[in-house]
Amino acid sequence: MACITENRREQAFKAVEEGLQALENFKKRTYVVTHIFGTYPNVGVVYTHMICQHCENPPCVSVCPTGASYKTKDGIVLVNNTKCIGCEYCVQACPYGARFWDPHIRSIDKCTFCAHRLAKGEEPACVTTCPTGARIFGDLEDTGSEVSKIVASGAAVALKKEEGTSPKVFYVFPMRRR
Amino acid sequence: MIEIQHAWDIRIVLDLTLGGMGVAAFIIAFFYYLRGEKEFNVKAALAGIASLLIGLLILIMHLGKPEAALYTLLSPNIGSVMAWGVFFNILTLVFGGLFALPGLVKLPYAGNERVMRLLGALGSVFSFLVMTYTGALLARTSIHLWRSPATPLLFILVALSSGIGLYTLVAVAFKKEVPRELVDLSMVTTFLAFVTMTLYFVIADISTEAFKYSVHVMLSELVGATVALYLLGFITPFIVYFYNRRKPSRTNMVVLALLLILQSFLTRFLVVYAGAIELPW
Repeated sequence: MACITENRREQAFKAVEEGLQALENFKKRTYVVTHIFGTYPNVGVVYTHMICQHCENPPCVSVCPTGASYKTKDGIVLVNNTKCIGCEYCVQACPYGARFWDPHIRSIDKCTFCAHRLAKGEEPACVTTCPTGARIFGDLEDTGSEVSKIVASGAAVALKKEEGTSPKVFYVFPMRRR
Repeated sequence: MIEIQHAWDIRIVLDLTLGGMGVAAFIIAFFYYLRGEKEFNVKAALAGIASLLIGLLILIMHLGKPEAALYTLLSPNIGSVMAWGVFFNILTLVFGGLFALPGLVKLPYAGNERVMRLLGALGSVFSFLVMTYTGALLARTSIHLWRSPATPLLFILVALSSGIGLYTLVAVAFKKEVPRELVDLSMVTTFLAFVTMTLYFVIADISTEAFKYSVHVMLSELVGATVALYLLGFITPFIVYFYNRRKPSRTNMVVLALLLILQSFLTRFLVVYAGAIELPW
């Protein structure tokens, strides 16, 4: 409930339509969706930060014909731009709509968990810039980490668990989701 | 939230249609080659391989980075259905192409029946695998309409229909009789494709939201294609078939063949364009 974002997705779409192509990736790698629930007068709104879910069993990796999509030892799902042929099979396989073809880099692109920052011991950019600390990043295998404690408490849920993908991104919603 | 997929377009539809039609025509041609008619069936097999090749060229045009396609051979992910498809397609082109090329140019092995039979048999095996792959490719996604076990079956059925259509066109072009049992088989595949396609609509109510949405799209934005499929792809072929039994003519056969090809195209068009994904919000 800490998220106070003003959803910029629509503005980004509009900017892209007006020819500001540079914003296109910004809107797709990570963005916030607005979910309104309930019926008047008992309504609420929740903002959901959407990124690649870095699944334990990523369908995007298993369908990739060249192995361009892969999972690192640390569990981060990445794309090797050189080997990507642009068939967009992974786009169809991802149940989270997290992947897209980027004509500028001529490869499938997605959230990388800011792997370049992690390599330097820094947190992902979305985590460090969030003004309310609504985004938490950590090692799920470290039982002492804040993120592990939240997940272990049962307060955090993964999206679309029925897909069997075992996502590594969790959400704390004001109401329970499946 | 449910979104219609936008990643795959008409080029994928054409690849699947031409590929399915080509490999089915090849299998039929090799079957009748074994039954005795050699020269014509090598030509019919060549038409099938040409169709497959055109489909693959269209697919390559769809790739965002076609020059990287070599990586499917250099570092294939053997768990990927698409990687299997690449190998099946290549092996069909190699073995099927070697079988069919004597229909175009004189080749030293063409007179060797054992070699020709071996090439044709290998070409047919890989052709069948290509035929099943076209549906399996779609089934291995997050799009519920495509995930249905009916999709690979439907694609095999319409591939057979269109393969008979292509074989018939080649037979008419070379003034050959189209085997009666083959035309009868096209009515069986048409009927089964009609039943399978209709099942999508019948089970929509008890399916997921994304599946229901796909069926809704077929009956709203894509209703023109749906009506065309049922009228031109499923019903009219039966009318032409029975009319042809009363008054046989080459024109009837050409019309029937074109309708069978249209059946495959419209089925794949509908399935691909109605593909919807349920996003997690």
